[in-house]
Amino acid sequence: MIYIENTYICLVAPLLLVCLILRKRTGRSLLFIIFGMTSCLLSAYVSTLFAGLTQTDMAEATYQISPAVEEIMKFLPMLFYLLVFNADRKSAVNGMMLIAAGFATFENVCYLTANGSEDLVSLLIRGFGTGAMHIVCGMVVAIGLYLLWEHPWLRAVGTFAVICFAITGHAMFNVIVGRPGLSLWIGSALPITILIIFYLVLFPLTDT
Amino acid sequence: MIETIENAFQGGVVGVCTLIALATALKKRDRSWAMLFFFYADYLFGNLFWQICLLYFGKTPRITIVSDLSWYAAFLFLYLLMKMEGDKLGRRTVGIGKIAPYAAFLFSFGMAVFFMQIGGYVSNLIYAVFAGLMIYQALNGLFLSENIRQKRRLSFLCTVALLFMIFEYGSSVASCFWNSPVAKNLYYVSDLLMTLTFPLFMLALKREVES
Repeated sequence: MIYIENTYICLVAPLLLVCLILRKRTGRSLLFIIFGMTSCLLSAYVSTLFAGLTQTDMAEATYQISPAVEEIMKFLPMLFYLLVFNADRKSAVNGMMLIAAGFATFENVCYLTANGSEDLVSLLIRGFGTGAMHIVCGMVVAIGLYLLWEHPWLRAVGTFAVICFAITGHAMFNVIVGRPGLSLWIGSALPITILIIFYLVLFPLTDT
Repeated sequence: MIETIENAFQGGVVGVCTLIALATALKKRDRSWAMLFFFYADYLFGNLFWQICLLYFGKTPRITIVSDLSWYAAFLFLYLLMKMEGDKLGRRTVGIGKIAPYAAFLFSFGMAVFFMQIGGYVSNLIYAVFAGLMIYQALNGLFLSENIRQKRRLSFLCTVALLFMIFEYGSSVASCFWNSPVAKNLYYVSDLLMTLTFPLFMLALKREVES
């Protein structure tokens, strides 16, 4: 049994303290990472609750319940930021990516605590595969926000639709990496490949 | 066997459409094409998830929330696409055109009551909301494009969306009577026709952008 709350406190405490000293923009970025970690912690509770309510076993919950809960929880801090602080398009997009990175980091730390740190290869696959998947999902939501920013109704409906898209991608990833061997390798390589394609195709476009 | 071929055909067609829409969205940097890409990708993901579950676990998912959300999202993107294209005209519906599109919800909720005889209540109600919304927007677009030069462009997109929904409902109704061979054939025909509507969206949008 691992106590993820304790792990969470150890990780978040120094970040939270440094937020008090840092300047506005950097501090805000760090806060997004902390929000991502918090979302991950809360997702674990909510997923367990829904798995219990729907009488789903652990394996089924990882591809049926967790993706939906995690993607929604990941978006909640951003929703709060959008509604309360009247955020601009660019900071919302960046924030979404940082939340995803924070989420993936905390999930990896929990995996490390639960499964040990002896096997470097599996940790590499896990670290990059899951990390990339969370960032790709965050990026999809960020792109959706960016594209549909102009009208509030468009943003609301479109964001819901983009989150649904991310949930399905996340669920497929969980099914594929759930089986060891070639399936795990392919599943982990997919989000990394998508991320590289994004970097090569989309970034030059945003520069122009 | 025929089901596998039919699924593979649909997957192939939607997959190709997804890639073309993505390439066009990046090339033209056009929001409408991005919406179309998300529509295709969501529909494809919903089907893919279903097929992956079949492949990995030998059974369809017990809780269908993931696939359902994906298909609902596909409907929403199509709704957004039609709404955005309709808004470009800067017109409002008048007279019967103001009320008639609401018939979409009567239809979708009527169908939901029928589906509830076999399936769950909540999932069918949610489906009715999303399907109703899409049919409403398609009908609204048809009324919006009345008596104007751009008529052919918007009405083509909305007509394809309506056809898509008719075949979607056709295959859903047929699947309710799966034991009957006639219904089984009807299901495959409806699904095949629905697959053929996917490339038509791109043709419709091409007209839209050219306008």
